[in-house]
Amino acid sequence: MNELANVLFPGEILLFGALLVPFVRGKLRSALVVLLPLLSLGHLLMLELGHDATFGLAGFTLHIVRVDALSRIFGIVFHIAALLCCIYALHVKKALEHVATLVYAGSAIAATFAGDLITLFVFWELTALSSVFLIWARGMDDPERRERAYRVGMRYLIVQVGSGVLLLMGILLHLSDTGSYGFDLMSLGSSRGAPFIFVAFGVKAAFPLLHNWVQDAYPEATVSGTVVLASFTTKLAIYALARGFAGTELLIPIGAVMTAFPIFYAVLENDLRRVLAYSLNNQLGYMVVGIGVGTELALNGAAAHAFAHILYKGLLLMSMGAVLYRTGTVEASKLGGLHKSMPLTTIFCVIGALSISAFPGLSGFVTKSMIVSSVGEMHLPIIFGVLLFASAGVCDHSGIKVPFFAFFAHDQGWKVKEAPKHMLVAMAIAAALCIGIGLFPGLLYEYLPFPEVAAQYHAYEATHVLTMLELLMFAGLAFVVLMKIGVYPPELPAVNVDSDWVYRKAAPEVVRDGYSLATYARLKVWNAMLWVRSAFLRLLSVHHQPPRGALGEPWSPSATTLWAALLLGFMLLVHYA
Amino acid sequence: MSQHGREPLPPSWFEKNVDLIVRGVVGVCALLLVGDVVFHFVGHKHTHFDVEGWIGFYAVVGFVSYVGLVLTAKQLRKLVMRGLDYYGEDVPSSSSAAPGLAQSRKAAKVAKEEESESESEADAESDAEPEPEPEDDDEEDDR
Repeated sequence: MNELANVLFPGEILLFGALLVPFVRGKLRSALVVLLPLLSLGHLLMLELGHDATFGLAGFTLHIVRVDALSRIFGIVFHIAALLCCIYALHVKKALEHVATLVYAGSAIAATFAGDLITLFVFWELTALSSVFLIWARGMDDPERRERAYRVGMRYLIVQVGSGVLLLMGILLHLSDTGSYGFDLMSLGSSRGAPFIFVAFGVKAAFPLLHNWVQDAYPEATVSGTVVLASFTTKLAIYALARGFAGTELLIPIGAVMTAFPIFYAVLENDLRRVLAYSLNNQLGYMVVGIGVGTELALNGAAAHAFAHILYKGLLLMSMGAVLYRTGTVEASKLGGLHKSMPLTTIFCVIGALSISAFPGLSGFVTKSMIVSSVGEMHLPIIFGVLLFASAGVCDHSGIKVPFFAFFAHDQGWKVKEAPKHMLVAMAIAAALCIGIGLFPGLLYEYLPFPEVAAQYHAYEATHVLTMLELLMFAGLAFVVLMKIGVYPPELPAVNVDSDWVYRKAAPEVVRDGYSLATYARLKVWNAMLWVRSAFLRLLSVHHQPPRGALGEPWSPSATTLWAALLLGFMLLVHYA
Repeated sequence: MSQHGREPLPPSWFEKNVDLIVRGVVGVCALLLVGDVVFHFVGHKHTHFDVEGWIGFYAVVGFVSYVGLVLTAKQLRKLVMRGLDYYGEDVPSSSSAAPGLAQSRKAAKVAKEEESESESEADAESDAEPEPEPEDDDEEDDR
């Protein structure tokens, strides 16, 4: 039995099992899609720590499987997420979504266990190609959304594949510099390829200004598609960063900005699934900070937080998916009072909200605190302050806003049925796991990358419980006060311009108006461009001395490649925007 | 209150006891502060930074961060908020009884000022067109 297990690579059962889905129907298909993640999880648990497998291909020896504590914990939570997603999506009649979910989950899992960069690249791209169908599927269900779904999907695909292209360039440069394509710890300076690989991971991890594909694409997927999307890609990138760039100090400020920047948008956003996409970005920030700190405690924290995060974020998105399924909308301005008609969904949503807020007794509390403590131990006061600020922020948009505006607030006269049974089952399992991890953190800590360090860590220490409760309750009090005095901003249906403005608005306008006849708008654009040009010329003339000027120096081939790739990717985005 | 021409369901416990809930939140906050004071003198706080040991530090951080975040975000609307069709991809929501409801910031403002819905919407619709141009310029300057 073990020998059979050793032949397969993790995720293989999902990848090939998915091909069977179109050939079965009804109950049999339901049984199949639930059974596959369970079988695959069983397979993973049979593999021992330290298990390795290689595979020869075209003169390369691919290190296709590497099971260690870091890859195992991500593999386990990806399996749980796959199972929950499959249960949650049982109402979907078309095979496409099920196949896409299974292939996507399978490739994310396979990428997690990749021991070399080439295997990682193959599955990295496969996650992009399979997941885009979860966005396009929405256009297939609803003809009114077809055009929009197509365009969102194309943008998503370009960004994802672009990340893959950067990764490939990085791998090739890394290979030529170091002669190795193993996927091991590196640093930004370890080869010419390392910065490319770093940025490729950064795109998928939604680094600041590279982040907007998350908020653009995720809320546009189907009811269950959003839950699936939110579980894998970004957390795979977190895993890849933890594997390749642990202890890279640049990640600390990057992560801190990620925790703080998206929450302002989360406060404003009206689409509650988009609010959760912004909050997902904020949660990734904590993990990125943890990876940047790079101590054993911090890396444990990053892995544990990713584990807990997948579950509570999935739970929150599932509850919003149920609302969307029943009411046809997740816009805060149109919702309210649903706790009367969807009481169970309300309870599950509140459990998810308390978990993400890191309320004592729930999963976020026992995982996020490791990262915050590790920052404290490194004595980084500014980062520590930003994380505290962001913790109060999470309490607003995910902890209060999402459940409050969907289920409480003003009753808008919705009389709908409770969520379907299979959705309730998926939400109940996720909620139980959130509570279970919160109450018995030891069960999770055992599987962390450094279990001995984790065993020393006590989340339920009096100071920690008291201070966290104070922080959260006073943030809640602030909400009550702001509501009472009518200062809390009303929910308004609107587009909030974010970094995607550059390729969705500015660039297409520049391209279009640059070639059309003289118009008012064109003059404006020309003026702006002239201003940019003169600024650029000034920059050139000031910094013309070769040793000092950033633009005066000769460009290295790698920098030229990077700029060429960025420019080409940008052109593609503009074309489809 | 109903957007859908239907009567809301009878009020639930939550809707009848808003004041009780508010008082509950205030009460818990007060208790936590008392707990903090007691713990300050009786117990020993494990902290990384000195300020963390101050009485009520986390309470202040929670409250101030929250208010600061929300009020800043509210101001941010002036800079980033645009009409739903800003990118030319708006999809009329099938579930909405009033699809044009507050299409833009201007519409929202107008609708707030005068209750006559149909008129204000027509205004907003025609006003919404020229609006993006000057705003684009703001955007360029800011970036």
